[in-house]
Amino acid sequence: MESRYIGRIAFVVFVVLAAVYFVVPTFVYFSLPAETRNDQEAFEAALPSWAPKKRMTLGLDLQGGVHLVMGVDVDKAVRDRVERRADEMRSWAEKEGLKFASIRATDARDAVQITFANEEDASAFRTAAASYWGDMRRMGGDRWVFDPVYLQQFRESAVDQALRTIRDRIDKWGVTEPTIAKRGSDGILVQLPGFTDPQRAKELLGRTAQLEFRLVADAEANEAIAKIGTLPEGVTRGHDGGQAYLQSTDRKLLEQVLEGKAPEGTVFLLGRVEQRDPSGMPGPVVYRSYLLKSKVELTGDRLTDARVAVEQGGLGSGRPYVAISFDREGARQFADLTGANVGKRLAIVLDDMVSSAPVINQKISEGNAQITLGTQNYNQALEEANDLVLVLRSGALPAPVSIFEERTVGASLGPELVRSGTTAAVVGMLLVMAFMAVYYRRQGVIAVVAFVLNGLLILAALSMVGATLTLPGIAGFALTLGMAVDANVLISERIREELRAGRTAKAAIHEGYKKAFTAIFDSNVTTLVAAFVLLQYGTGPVRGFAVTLSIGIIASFFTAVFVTRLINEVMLARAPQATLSV
Amino acid sequence: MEIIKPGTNIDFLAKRRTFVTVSIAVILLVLALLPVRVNLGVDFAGGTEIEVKFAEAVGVDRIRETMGSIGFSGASVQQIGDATENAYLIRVGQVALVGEAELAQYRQALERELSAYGFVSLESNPATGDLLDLRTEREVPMAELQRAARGASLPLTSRDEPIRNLTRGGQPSYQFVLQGLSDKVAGTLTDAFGEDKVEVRRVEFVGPQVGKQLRNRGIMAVLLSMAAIVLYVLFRFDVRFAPGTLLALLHDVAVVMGYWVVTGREFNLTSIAVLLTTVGYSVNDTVVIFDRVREVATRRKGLSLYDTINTAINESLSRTIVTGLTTILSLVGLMIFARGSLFDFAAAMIVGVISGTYSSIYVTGPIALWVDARLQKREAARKVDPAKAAHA
Repeated sequence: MESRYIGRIAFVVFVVLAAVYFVVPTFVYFSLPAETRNDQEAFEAALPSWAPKKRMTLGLDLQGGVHLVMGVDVDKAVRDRVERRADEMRSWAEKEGLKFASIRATDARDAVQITFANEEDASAFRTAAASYWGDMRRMGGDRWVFDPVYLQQFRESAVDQALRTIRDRIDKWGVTEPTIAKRGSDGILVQLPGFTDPQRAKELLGRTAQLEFRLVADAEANEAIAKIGTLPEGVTRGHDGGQAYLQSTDRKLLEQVLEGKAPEGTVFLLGRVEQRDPSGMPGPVVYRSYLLKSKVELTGDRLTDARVAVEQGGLGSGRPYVAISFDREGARQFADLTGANVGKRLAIVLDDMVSSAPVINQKISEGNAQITLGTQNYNQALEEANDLVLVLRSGALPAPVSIFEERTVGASLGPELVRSGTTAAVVGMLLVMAFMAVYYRRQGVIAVVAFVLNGLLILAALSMVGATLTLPGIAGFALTLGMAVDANVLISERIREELRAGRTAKAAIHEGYKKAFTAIFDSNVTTLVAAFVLLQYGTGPVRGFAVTLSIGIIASFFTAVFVTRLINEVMLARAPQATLSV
Repeated sequence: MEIIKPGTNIDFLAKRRTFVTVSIAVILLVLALLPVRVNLGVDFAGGTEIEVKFAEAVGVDRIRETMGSIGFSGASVQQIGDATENAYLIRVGQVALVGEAELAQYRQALERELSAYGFVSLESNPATGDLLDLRTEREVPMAELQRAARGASLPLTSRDEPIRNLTRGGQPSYQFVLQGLSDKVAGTLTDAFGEDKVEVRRVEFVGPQVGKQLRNRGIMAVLLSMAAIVLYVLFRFDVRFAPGTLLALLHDVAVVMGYWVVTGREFNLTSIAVLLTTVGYSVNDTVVIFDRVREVATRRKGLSLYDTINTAINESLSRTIVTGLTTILSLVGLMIFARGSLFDFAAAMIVGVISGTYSSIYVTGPIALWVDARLQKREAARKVDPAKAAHA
C-alpha cells in the first residue's frame, strides 16, 4: 500500500476507535436491565474501568417520569408587598403622631394611597418617607408606588426563593438526576426521571414553605451525640464552639443514624454546609446535625421583611448582614424570646432544614434584628446573606406556585415506545442501506460503510455530551442518516457523469469528489441553519431531534466525503486497472 | 441501476405559469383553511391529554359518556395501538376551571358563609387558573375556611394543602387551591372504572399561558429559519434566487400544514419539528440545483438563463429523485411500526419531502426567471431614460 494513505488511514482508525470508546458507557447502560441501570453504582460496576463515565440518558418520554413547569404567582407576591408596605407606613405614622385620614393599599394593590389630615403632617411624612422607603416613589398627590427597578428585583427574588424551596425539597427525596431550572420570567422547570407519581410531586412542590425559629439545644447536644456510640462509615463527628454534631455527605445515612436519638423535648434536624476548597470553588455538599428544642418559638408569618444590608461605620464597616423586621405581634414575641435567651443560638428553619443558627447577642425589642454572618470573606458573606434572605422571605412573603405545564409518562409506556421506536428506525435504516447497495453497486456499498460510521459518530457525540435520547430523537436518528446519504448520492451521480464523459476511473473519482463538494457544503449548511433554529426553539423531546440532526449533518462531512474518498483511492491504488462499479 | 436515464431533457420551465399559480393557490388555500381546520394539540391550545389503559374492553362511547358527566362533553376520545391493548387517548381542550359566572357564584356563597369575618374579595388569577385569592377583614380560623369552602362547594384539590393561609401581618389573605384539570380527568376515570382497572400511562397538561407562548415561539421559529436560509442564499448565490427560495419554502410549509388540515390529526410540538426539517430538506434540494446552475453558467457561457436552469434541473434530476427516495425509505419503518405522534411525524415528513422536491424544481426556477426578466427590464429602462431626456 502506498505510504501517502497511511496518515489518513491512521486518522480514520483513530476516529473510529475514539467513537467506540465514547459509545461504551451508553452501550453498557442499555444492556443493563431497566431496573438497575439508573443506579449509579450498579452502572459503574458494570462499566470497564478504562471507559468514560458520560453516557446518553433516556428522556422522560422513554423512561417515565414527571415533567412540571411550576408557575410562581409573582403578581400576588407584589400585591402582598404593597399591602405590607401600607401597614408599615401606617404604624410609622401612628408612632410619629402624624394625623392622617387613611393609609391603605389601592384596590388594585399597586400603590399605597395616603390621605393626610393637614398639609403640615403630609409634608413631614413625605420628607421622612423619602429617606425611609427609598424603594418607593411619590406619584401625583400622596400615592406611593414601588420603583420599577426594585419591583423587578423583587419579582426575580420571588422566583428565586420558590426555586430554592423546590430544590431543597427535591434534594430531600433523593431523586436521581433531577433537573430544576428557571423557565421564562416566572416559571420553574422540574424534571424528575423515573418518578411516576405526579400527584405526589405536585403536592410536595406546591406547598408554601414553612419558616420557623427554634432555639438550639446546646446544653443537651454533647451528651446526645456521645450516646450514639460507634458511627457507620461516612458519618463523622464535628465540633462547633464546643458543641458536638455529626456530619456526612450522605443525607439518608445521617438521618438513619440520628433516628430516635434526640432526648425528650428536642429534635435532630439537618443543615447544609457549603464546603469550599481554598480557591473558593464549591465542594461536595455536607450535611450536619443540629439538636433543636421541639418548641417552635416563632413562625415565618410574623416576619414582614428580610433584606441584605451593609454595615455603615464601626469595626465591621462594609460587611454585609441580613436585616429582618417583624410585625407588631411578632416584635413582641421576638423581644420576649431574645430577652430570655441571650447568649443562646436561634435556628432559622425552613421546611425542616436549618439554614442558619445565629447567636442571640442581646434583647431585641424594636422588631428589627440584624443577623451577622460568620465568614470574613466579603463575597462569601454576601452570597450567604442573599441565600438567607431567600429563606426568610419564603416564610415572610411567600410567592404561591401553581402548575403551568405537566407531562408525565408512566413506567410501563416507556419500554414499549423504545421497542417500537427502535424497530421502526432500524427498518428504515436497513431499507436505505439495501437501496444504496443495489442502486450504486460498489459505490453504494462504500456509502453503506459511511452510513454505519455516521451512525456510530452520532451515538458517540451524543454520549460524549451526555445527551438525552427521546422518542423524536430516535426518529431523527433514522431520518438524519437517510438525509445524510445525500452526500454519497451527489458523489456517486457525479462519478457516473464523469465516467460517461469518458474519463478513467481515477479521474472520475477525482473529479466526482471535487465537483460534488460545493453542492454538499452549501446544502448541508442550509439544513444546519434549520436545525439550529429548531435547537433554539425546541423544548424537551424536540430538542433531542434537533441535536441528532445537527450532529449527523456535521459528521457526514467526515464519513460521506473524507472516508469514502479514502476507501476509493486505496482500492484504486491496489488495482489501478479495475473499472469502477457505480 | 438508473431511475433517470442520462441525457434526460425535460422542459420543466415550459408550463411555469401553471405551476407557480397552483403553488400560490395552495398557499392561499391552506392559509384560508388554517384557522378552521387545524386541530391544535394541547401543546398549543392548552388543555389536557391523557393516555389510559384499561384492564378490559371499555369502548369509546362509555369513556365519552363519563367525561360528559363531569362537564367535558367536548372531550375527544380515540383508541390507540392494538384493539386488544384497550388503550385510549383522551383530550380535553382548554376549559377555564373557573369561569366568570362560577366565580361570581363562589363569591356570593363565600360572602354569605364568611359574613362574620367581613368578606372583602375573591379573585382568580387567569395566568394560573387553579388558585382563588380570598381576603377578609378579620382572621378566619382554618376550620371555618374549610366549612365555608364546603358550603360554597368549591372544587378544592385533594392534595394536602387545599387552603393556604397567606396572611402576613395586615389584612388576612387566603388562597384556595382548586382541583387541576389533569387531576380532575384522571380522578374521574379511576372513580368511574375502579382504581385497579385503569392505568394512567401518560398525562400532558398545558396551561393557557404556556400554550400561547409555545404557539408564538413555534411561528417565530418557522419564520426565523426561512429568513436565515433566504439570507444565506442571498449571500452564497444570487439575488435572483432569493425570492424563489422564499416562495418555495412558503409552498412547502403550506403543503405540510395541508397534511394536518386534510387529516385533522393533532398539530403539536413534533409538527413544528417536521415543518423546520421540511424547510431544511427543501432548501437542501434547491441549493443543489442552484449549485448546478452556477456550474452550467460558467461551463456554457452565453446560454440563456431559461436554458441554464433547465439544464441544471435535468442534470441534477437523478440525484434529486434518489435522495428523495432514500429519505422516504428511512421514514417507512416509522410509518409502519411507530405509534401516535411518530406516525404523523413520518407521514407529514414524507409529504414534506415530496413537496420539497416539487418546489425546488417547479417553483424556484420560474421565480428566478421572472425576477431576472424584471431586473433586465428595469436595467433597460434605466439605459433608455437618459436618451429620452436628451430628446425632450
